Amino acid sequence: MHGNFDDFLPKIDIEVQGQGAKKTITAVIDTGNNGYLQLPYIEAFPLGLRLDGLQDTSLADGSIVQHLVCRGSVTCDGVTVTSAIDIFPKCHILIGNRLLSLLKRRAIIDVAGNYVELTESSALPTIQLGDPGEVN
Amino acid sequence: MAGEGNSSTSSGRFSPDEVSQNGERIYFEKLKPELENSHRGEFLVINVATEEYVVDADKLAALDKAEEKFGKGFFYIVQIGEIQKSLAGFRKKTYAWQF
Repeated sequence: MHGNFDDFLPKIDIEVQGQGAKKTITAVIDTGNNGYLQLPYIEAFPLGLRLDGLQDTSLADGSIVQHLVCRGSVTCDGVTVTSAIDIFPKCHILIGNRLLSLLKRRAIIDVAGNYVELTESSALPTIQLGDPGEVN
Repeated sequence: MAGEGNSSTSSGRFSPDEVSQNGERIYFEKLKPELENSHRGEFLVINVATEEYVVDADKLAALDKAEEKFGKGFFYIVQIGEIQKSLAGFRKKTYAWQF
């Protein structure tokens, strides 16, 4: 499944479903994020996501942000999984590494080549290692 | 001390403020010192109604464990060791439900 760059951010479409509504959302693939999916209220509330709790998170400046934690279905590249979804009053829509792992997807992000793709993680290319003695 | 036991009483009857206040109290006063040694970086889900909790390295798995043990509810969640109580008694905090 192909995505695209928007202002140097790799983006891809995902479908998020709560207890009723379903919506296609364009999200940033954030490989520096070890979470699942992050949504702002304006996107999350209409979906009727199931509320699981609230979480305290410490920021770099020492302050604490408390956010709501929900669960919902996420579909990407034909694969549907149940994911934790962190929702904030305002935030970027981010796909974290744990969601990529749940989806079993490998992100190919080539900034210089303007290329974004998610593929099956099982379709990894075989890396051919050369003879160390042949290094020039 | 309540631990990783079975309970059907969830935190659903508490307001977000009560879940926040009780969750922090249970975490800081009862669980943090012990769990930071054995489960640092893992996710703690507390049922504030019973003070029982579950722990897992994965947040989704921790939530699944909590639902299995306590039923559907509204839980307090924290990554163990990631937040510290301010020594000065003051800490800037932003709440999710305040627009």
